[in-house]
This record gives sequence, C-alpha cells and structure tokens, in this order.
Amino acid sequence: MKKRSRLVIVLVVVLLCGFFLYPTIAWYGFVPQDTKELATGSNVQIKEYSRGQASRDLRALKELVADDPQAAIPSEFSYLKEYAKENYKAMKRSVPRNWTLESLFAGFYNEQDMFDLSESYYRTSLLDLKVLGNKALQLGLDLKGGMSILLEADVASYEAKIGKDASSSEISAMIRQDIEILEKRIDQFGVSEPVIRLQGDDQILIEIPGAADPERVNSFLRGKGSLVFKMVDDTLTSELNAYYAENPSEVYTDAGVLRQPSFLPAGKIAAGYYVSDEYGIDELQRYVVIEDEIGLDGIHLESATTATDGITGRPVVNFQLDSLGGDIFYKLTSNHVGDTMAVVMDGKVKAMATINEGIRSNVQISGFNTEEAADLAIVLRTAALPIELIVSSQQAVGATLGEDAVSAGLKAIAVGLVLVIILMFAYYHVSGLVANLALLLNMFFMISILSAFNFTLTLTSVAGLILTLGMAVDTNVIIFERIKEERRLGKSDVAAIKAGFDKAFWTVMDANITTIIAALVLSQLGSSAVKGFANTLAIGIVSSVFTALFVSHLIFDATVAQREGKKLHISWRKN
Amino acid sequence: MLKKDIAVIKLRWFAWALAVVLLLAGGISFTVMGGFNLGVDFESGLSQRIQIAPIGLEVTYTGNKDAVLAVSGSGINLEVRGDEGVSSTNFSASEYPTAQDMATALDAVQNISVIVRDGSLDTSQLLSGYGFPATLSAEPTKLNFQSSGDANIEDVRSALDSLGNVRVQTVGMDGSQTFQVRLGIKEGATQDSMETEVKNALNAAFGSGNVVVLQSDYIGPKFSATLLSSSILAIVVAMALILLYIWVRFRFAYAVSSLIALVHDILMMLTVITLFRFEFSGITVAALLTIIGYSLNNTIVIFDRIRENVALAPNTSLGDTINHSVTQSLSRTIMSAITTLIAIIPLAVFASGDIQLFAVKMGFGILFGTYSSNLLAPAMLYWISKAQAKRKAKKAE
Repeated sequence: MKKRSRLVIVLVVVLLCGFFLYPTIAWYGFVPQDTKELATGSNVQIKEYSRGQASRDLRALKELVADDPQAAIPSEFSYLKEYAKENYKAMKRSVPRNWTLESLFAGFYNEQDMFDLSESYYRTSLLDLKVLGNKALQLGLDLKGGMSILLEADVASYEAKIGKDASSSEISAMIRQDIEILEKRIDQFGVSEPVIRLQGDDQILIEIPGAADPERVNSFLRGKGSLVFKMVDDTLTSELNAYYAENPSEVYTDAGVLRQPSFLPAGKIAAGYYVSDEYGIDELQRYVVIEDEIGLDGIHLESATTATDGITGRPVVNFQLDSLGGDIFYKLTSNHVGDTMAVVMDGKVKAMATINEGIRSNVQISGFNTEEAADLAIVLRTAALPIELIVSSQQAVGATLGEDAVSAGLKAIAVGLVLVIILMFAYYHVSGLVANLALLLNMFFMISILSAFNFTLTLTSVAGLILTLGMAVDTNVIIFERIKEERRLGKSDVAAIKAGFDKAFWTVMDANITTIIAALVLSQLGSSAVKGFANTLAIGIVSSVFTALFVSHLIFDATVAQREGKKLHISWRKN
Repeated sequence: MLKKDIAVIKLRWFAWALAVVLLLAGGISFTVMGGFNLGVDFESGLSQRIQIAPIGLEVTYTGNKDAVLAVSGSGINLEVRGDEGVSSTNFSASEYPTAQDMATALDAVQNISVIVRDGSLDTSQLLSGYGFPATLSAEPTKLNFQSSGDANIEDVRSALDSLGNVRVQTVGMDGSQTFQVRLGIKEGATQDSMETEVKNALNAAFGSGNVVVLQSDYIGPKFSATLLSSSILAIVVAMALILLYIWVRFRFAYAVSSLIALVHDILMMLTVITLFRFEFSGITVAALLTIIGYSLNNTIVIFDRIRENVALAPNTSLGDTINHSVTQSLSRTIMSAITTLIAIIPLAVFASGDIQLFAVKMGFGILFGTYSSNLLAPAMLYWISKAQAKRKAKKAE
C-alpha cells in the first residue's frame, strides 16, 4: 500500500477515535459532580427537577418585575431572552434592543407560556447531558460502587400454589411480566436509574449504580404500599383545576412536586392524574383532589385482567380481592355509590372510575378504551408479581472499595506503562520510541473503542487493559527482531526494514488470530466478569496489530527508508 | 545473538521428564488436598469483605424532607430535597479534619443532630460500605472510620465459628482490619438470612455497628452450576477452534504438538493453583484462557520459524532446523515474556483480591508458557514428524 494512503487511514482512525472519545473526556472532565448526578437520574426526576426550577424562576421573575419593571435581566434568567425573541418574531413585533424585565415578560403570551418554555429549557439541557453521559465510557459497578442482583423465578412455590407443574414458556412469560412490573416501580428508587433486564429465559438482572443498600432493594422487590385505592373529592377537584389554570407559578414547588394549595382542608390532598406517554413516562393530564386516607391497600389484590363487557362490548378491567380486602372494599363502595374512586400509585392517580354499587371481591371497572384498560390492568398487577422472585446471585460493592479499585487500577496502568516504555527504549534505542508511540496510540484506540461500543469498564477489563500493554509491544518486538536479523545478514537498513515487516507479517497474524479466537470464545461463553476482560483483550489485539503494521511501519518508512543514508537505530549495540 | 544453537532436541527427554514429574506432583497434591479451593462463584455461598472500623458519629434527621448522606474519599455530601428545592452541602475532610469538627458542622444543619462516639477520628478515613448513600431518618445512621486496631483473623474466625462452614482471609495490610469472609450455603438459607446471620455474629463480637461491609457477593446453587459448565465449555470450544486454525494454516503435526503443549500449560496452572491453595474463581478461567492465548502465541512464532526454515533448507535434519529456529526466536521470546511480566507485576502489587490473584496466576502462566513453547512443543513436533515419516516409509515399502 502507498505511504500516503496508509497515512490517510491512520489519520482517519485517529480522528474517528478522537470523536468517540470526546463524550468521555467531556463527561468526566468538564461536567460538575452535582450536575452529573441530576443528569443520571430517571426521566421522572429530571422532569421534577425542571418543573421545580421553572417554578422558582417564574416566581423570582414576578417579584423582580413587580419591584422594578425597567431593571436589567439578571444573568441567570438570560436564557429566556432567546425564547422571548422567537415569540416577538412570531407576534410580528420588533425585538427590543434593550432588554428589561418588562420587555422580557412582554415576550411571552402568558405566565403558562413562560413556565413551559423555562421548564423545557431545563429539561432539554439535562437530557442533552444525559445523552452525553450515556455515550461516555461507563464505569462498572465494581468501580463506582453499587449492586447487581440476579433474580430467578421461584418456580417451586408457584407450582405448589397452583397445584400443578408449570411449563417453561409459562414461567418465561410470567418473568417478562415481572420485569414490566419492576420497571413501573423504578420511580421509588431515587437518585440513580437501575437497569432491569431479562437474562436467559427465566432470570432478571438488576443493576443499581451508586447505592448498595439491601433494605431498599428488598422493599423494591416486594413493592408493598405502592398501590392504593382512594376516594376523589369532585367539587374540590374542579376548584383546584381552576386555581392552577389561573396561577401556573403556584403549581409546583422548587423540588418539582405538586404544591398543596392552602384552601384544601385537612385530610384532602392534591395529586396529578397521569397517563403513560409513548416513551413510558407518566405524562400529567390534570389535577385531582383525593382523600389522604387510604381506602384499600393494593396488597389485597390477587389478580387483574382485561376483558370485554358482554352486553356493551366495551373493554373492562376485572380484578380479584382477597377476603379481607373484599370486606373493606364492600364497606367503602357501599358508602360511596355515585362517587369517584381513584387508583393511586406512588402518589400519582393512574385511573378513576365511578362507583355504581357496593362491590365485594370481583371488581369490574369500565369506562376506558382498550389501551387504557390494558394499562390499568398492568398498574393493578404491579401490586403483586405474577411469580415470586428469589435471589440467585448478588454482588454489592461499597463506594470506598470502588474508589480504591479505581486508584489501584490507574496506578497499576501508570507504573506498567512507564516500565514497558523504559524497557523498550533501553533495548531498542530510537526504534523503541516508535514502539512506545504505537503503545500509547494503542491505549488511546482501546479506550475510545470501549466508549464507542458502550462497553462498561469493570475491574476485569482494567486487568485486560494492562495485560494488553505487555502484549501490544510484542507485535513490535517480533518485527524489530526480524529487522535486526535481516540486517545481520548484511542487508541495508531500508532492505532490512522491508524484509522484516514482510516476513513478520504472517507470524504476527497467526499469533494474534489464535489469541483473538480465545478472547472471542470467552466473550461469548464466559460469565459477565470474564466477558469484560475478553472484550478488552479482543479490542487490544486488533488495535495492537493495527498500530504495529500501520503506525510503526509508516514511521520507519517515512524516516529511515526515505533516505538511504539515514541510520536505523534499533539497538544500543553495533548489531 | 548466540553463536551456537540451543540443543532443544537433545534436551527433549529431560524437558518432558521434568514436566511429567511436576504434573504428577500436581496430581498427587490434588488428591491429597481434596481438590480446588473453589471461589464463591463456583461454590455457592456468601462472600463478604468486611472491615472492622469504629463508629465515630451517629447522625439522625427529624425533618420531613428527604435527606441523603453520601460518603466519598474526600468527605461527605449531604443532599436535602424539600419544598424549597434541592440543597447540596459538601463537608470536605480537609476542612473538617476530625470527627468532632465534622459533627459540629453537620449539627448546624437544620433538623440534623449528631451524636459523637469518638471525636478524635480522622475524617479522611471515613468508610462507605453497604447502605450508602444513606437516607437519614430518626433512626441513627452510623458513620464508620477506618482506624488501626488489633482485631486479627482468629478473632473473626471465632466470631463466625457458630455459623458452620466459614473461611476467613486477611485482606491488605494487617492494621487495616479488613477480612474476606466466606460462608457455604446451608439448606433453606437465602441471601438475606445469611447476611443477617453474619452481621449479627460480627456485631456480637466487635460491638454493634463496628463492622462495615465493603462488598458482598452471594451466589445461589443454580448459578454456580451453570457457571462451572459454561467455563469448561469455553475452554474446550476455544481449544478446538485454535486447533482447527493451526491445522489449516500449518499442518496436523504442528496443531497436535501445540495443543499438547497447551494441555501441559493448563495442567501446570492447575497444579500451582492446588499447591498454593489459590482460589479457583471465574477470573481464574480468564487467566487460563489468556495463558492459552499467550503460550500459543509463543508456540506459533516458533513454529512459523520452523516452517520457514524447513522450506528454506529442506536438506537439513529436522532436529537441527528446530534447534536453529528456537534459537533465532529466543530474543523475541525473552523480550515478550519480560514486557508482559512487567506490565502485570504492578497489578499484582497494587491491586487486591481477585485481580491480584489473576496477576499472580498470569505470572506463573507466562513462565510455563515460555517453557512449553520453547522446549515441549518443538520436542513433540519432532516426535510426531518422525513417527509420520516412519509410517510413510513403511507404507512405501
């Protein structure tokens, strides 16, 4: 291959790797820690946070403008100018040259408009950061602390309950339902967003970064108290909706949760009525006033299914209560015929229905379309998992140990790197420096490929990275030794370099292909810890072959082979 | 550059005899010691890394907001989420060097009260184990500090003695009081019940709350069974594919010789693991496979040379060609072994636990791999080629 085309390939690869490495550098180097924590939160938390920030800004601005309408806009609110400009243009009015608080307010249709745009500003910037964070190299739970739990279906107790054997497809279907339910419970989890996924056919893997608190995980798995039935106060509900429509800045607190208006009597609380949007995020529809007192706790639910009403043909949701729950529910519904009842999950109203008569254990709720009915059935089912889960394996690492592991890993990499660099220079003179450059490039390629493929950096992959340090120079060693040999045969430097690279080519390929076979098999068949190691090793092999055959070769060709007179330094001795 | 070739072929009986003796020793020690010291991932049970560290502070929170306390190497971070928004306060260890200083600062936060159990402790030694970041409540959250003490492995052993099948190892420096505790699984026990048992036993021995769980791994019986079978499968599949590749690229005799050398490497590694009572865990499988890759890499570089030299000088005897090829590759062999070793040594020095063991096993593996690819594999190739030639000659008759 021509030197120029090789140079182009090397440059393209370097640029590409730089592009992939950028998010990692930006995320770990330039995003402040508390912003990072906000951005790694769940979408719901980001939403709450942005609502809170928008409410606070709107209130602060209203105070400021009441104080002095002609005052300049404080810098923390200047982001609103961009939105106001757009609005001015849309309203076909001239954009003010000197911005004052008054002209800023004039740039919005109403307070609600200002609130919405401000919320979207906060939300978009955090979501952008979240995207950046997802592109950056992820640290495994063993490095940043956290917990990973593998759960499996408790088949034995399920079979005992239903009194017959369960087929594996049945179990796997129920496991999938369990996952759906656990995902709905994520909200309870706070700061970090856990990963929940199916492993194999009948196992669930849950990874919770940051927190390693078994108690919280247990309550998460049991999911108790997350679903309740409560009575709705219809009169206050319409009052509340009217009030919020009038005062958009009074809806949320700074933390982004509903602000309880002062006119609500004790024992009544304001809650949002939510419907899941297309992304599975709960979207707020309107506001409802419900009783603080719990009508019926969801632990009394035994099952929930959707069906079609035989007479009307409309979709309905049926659910079964246990006997105690049936008694409570009968008393409640008999006293409230004609009233509305709400299904509340984690403080959010998920469904409402009018009570027609006193109901005991078999409850039927109607008044939805098919999709809503299916959604409600899922919500009701979250109270209980279709099949119980038992812990198959669990790994928890505290943050201290994780930090120690990171610093030990970095230290080992640094020391190893320095030692190898010294040795290569000591043994191969200037050519050793070429190998060292290839080695450093190799590290750079590996880390950027790891982040490009979204691999998680675990303790074992750090080990793989370090091992590759030693193996990466090996390709150069094979070539250098061959060049030396060719020179000993009396060849000129240029001829020796050419013969060295040519003859070493298949040796290098054979040696590395066999190693990569081992690495690929490991990455397919190994356990998850081993997989991290194997992936790093495989990437390391590919990139070390590339750096040796392309980068080192190019440097030799460009320096020594270019001018016949130039001396090749490949050893401190004569030969 | 050596003037004279190394007499690899002359040494063949001796080299193989040494290998066989060592392997026999390994086999004997394996039977005597009753198998491997299986890691928690292959033998179901609970494995915890615990540190005995005194409680310095107890923090309680009586407000109605969400207060979360996180501990990092540089201090603690308090996040309060309430109606007025999120407020995050950092109490760095450099600003509040002792537990007493930190307590005074924390106590000033609204609704937070701190009981000082030992105010002289150094806040840069704060530990964050199981249960952090912690949500504060009226129930006190305990902050432990790493400090030197004299609890030794025997104390931990006797504390856990009543729980049955328990193994304890010291981790890190003696003074840090950190231990790895392993418990075999009992009939009907769950992860939850085992963790509670260990916690209660340690609390009884070292004082309630004075033990921090840094890491906790639980492996159920079913999980460990699948792991073992998938590991064996991985090794077998990898070896089969490699054999196939060499067969295609070289010749049958080369493939079989290198495979026999690999079996030697694996068996030698297992011998070392048995002799030194190293833990056999999932990471060990990774070490084994890396050594397979490494040793094979070495063998192939040498075989490549033999093949090249056979083609260049078909009239030289095979023995001489092999000797010459091994000698030609020698400086590369040595350099490669040294660079890999010096990359691994820092890992063995600085890392702890599984990764340190991995590095140590890798170190042994590099030695065995170098031995087998320079002495054993070429000898095997010599024998097989001779046998093939003899059979050919017989057929020709």
